[in-house]
Amino acid sequence: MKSQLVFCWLVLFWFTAEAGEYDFTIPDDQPPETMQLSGNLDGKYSLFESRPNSPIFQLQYTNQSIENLLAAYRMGFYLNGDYQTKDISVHFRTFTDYSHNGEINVSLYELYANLNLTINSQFLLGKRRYNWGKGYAFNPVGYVNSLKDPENPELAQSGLLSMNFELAKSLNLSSVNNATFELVMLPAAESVNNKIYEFQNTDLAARLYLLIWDTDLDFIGYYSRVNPVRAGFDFSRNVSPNLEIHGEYSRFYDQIKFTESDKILKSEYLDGVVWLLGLRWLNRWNITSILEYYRNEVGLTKSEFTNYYNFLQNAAASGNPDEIAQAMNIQKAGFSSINLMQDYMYLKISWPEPFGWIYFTPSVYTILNLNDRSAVIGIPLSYKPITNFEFLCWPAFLIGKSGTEYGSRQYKRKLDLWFRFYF
Amino acid sequence: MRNRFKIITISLLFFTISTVFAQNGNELLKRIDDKLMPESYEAYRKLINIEPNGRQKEFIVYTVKKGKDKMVMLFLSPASEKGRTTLRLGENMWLYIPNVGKPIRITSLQSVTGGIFNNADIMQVDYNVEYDVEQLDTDTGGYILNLKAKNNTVAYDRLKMWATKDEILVKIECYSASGMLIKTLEFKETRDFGGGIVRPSVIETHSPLYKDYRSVMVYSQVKSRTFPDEVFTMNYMSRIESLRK
Repeated sequence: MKSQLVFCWLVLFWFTAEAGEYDFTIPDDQPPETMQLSGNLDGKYSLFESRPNSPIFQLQYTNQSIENLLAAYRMGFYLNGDYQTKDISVHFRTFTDYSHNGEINVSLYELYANLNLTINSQFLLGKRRYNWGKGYAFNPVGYVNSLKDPENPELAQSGLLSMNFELAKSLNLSSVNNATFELVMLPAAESVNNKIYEFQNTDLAARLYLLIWDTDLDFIGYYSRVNPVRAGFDFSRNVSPNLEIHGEYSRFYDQIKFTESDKILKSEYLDGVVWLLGLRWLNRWNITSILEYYRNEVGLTKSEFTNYYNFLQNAAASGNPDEIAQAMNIQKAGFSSINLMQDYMYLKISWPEPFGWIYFTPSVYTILNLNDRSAVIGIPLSYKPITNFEFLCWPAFLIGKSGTEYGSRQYKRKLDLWFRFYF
Repeated sequence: MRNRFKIITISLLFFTISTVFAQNGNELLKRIDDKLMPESYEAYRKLINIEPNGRQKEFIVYTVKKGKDKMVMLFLSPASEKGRTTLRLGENMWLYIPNVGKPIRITSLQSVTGGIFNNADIMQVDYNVEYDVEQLDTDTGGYILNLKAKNNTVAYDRLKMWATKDEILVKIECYSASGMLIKTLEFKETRDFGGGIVRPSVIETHSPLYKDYRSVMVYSQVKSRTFPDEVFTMNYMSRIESLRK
């Protein structure tokens, strides 16, 4: 009898233990209609090895004697809020940057409200980040996108103040499955007394998306009386279970192009084309490769870049404060974009948990300037040993001869040590 | 002349038997699919990746499915993944990351969670949509089905599937086109979710390619529910949370 009782207890215990193994609590089950907060806290320690013969370095640190090895320590706090009901939602994203000199900068990246008019249409009002286009590092059709850093395209960015209407339709046809139309209205960049702008200078952007024959296809246009008028398309398609191809093509009209000539910033208005072709491939060792070719007709040619480089170098060598100030102004006004020239190749290879090293993902990427053969090579090494924590060790090398785009940057090498806590 | 007649007769007979056999197999596969999940539903799942050192990584997701091949999945936890959403329409898959702000096309062999489950496993649509039954056998335990992918965009070229006599799925072996075993999925812990939904509540997988790793998918709160088609569009991906209200 006693042994039977013990057996019954053992069976009961076993069943209880089994039930517990697979039980879990659903987060925010039947969530209340309150603002949900989330975000991440970043600590970033950076080391830079400067390039003293870089004209931009010489212009920035004129008459200052500084060591070759420089450091920066910054804290970044991303705070997101989401309030969601069945019909409306309100969202905000903020970024607070605190540097070692005690300076605090608070940026409102996004603040918008969303009204679900019907199940297939919505109206959106406020400051919101757009990300149009299929390219990973570059987006020729990203007419309303925030400026993207090709070295870290997934970093949160500030949005645009706009009004937006979206209409989506699921068609269930054999060829076309889905269609979406999106219209964006943007106030003019230039305002009167920082308060009001001329209505006729309102910009309009529109996007028609089709899922057609298992291919994403977008037709995108941008109309403005102030900014360049642009139109283009993009596409993306899985050609096999491990291979995706994508591309973007954009035609622009009256796009301003700056060149330097005789210490004067010259501008001309051009019509032309920007395009991109790329692929994403997963191989049998679980290594993902992204390869993109980017062509920008309005970028600088090799000789135009050489003229610009010589101009900066002469200004730095002159030691004349007026010439230096003028060179800095020209650099900021016309040559501050991340990629100045015409042809680039982007390659990123990442390998999660190689050789059984769990929680560790090494990657390597390069942006190669095909016009002057200079390049940036980065090796982000991500380690996530604990849930909601990530450590990134990210060395990067800027390679190129003197007078090339990456070979003339202020720094030869940099190392970021990045700690990210999510909540 | 007589020999030619014999050959034609035998060929026709063989063709007829194969067609009937395949039809029976495909009908059985459809019934197995129907028993596995209602056509349209919402469910909560926990995905657990168990590392060789015994440590676990867990993800909780909210899943919505409609028809044979429309599915969307929202990550609820951990915080680093919260808000990520994946959408599947047939063989098309996208991932929406809130920070990035746009859906990115992904492929079925990638994995949004790491571990042994890939996107095709986590976002599995009805098997009869992607596979045809090539061979159907029976044994004392139930049925053994050999499946062949309908086209080359499907994640696994061949499946070997075991089901009980009650047509409840028990095990699947997934093979590449070269015949290599990629992984094994085991369906366990049959549970009554209410509303007539009785199905395995745990799917466990292991793979010779990931020695000493295991991944487990646990189902909770499977409910029959219908949704408009527009929920399964890229523009709706950022609003899936509103379906839980």
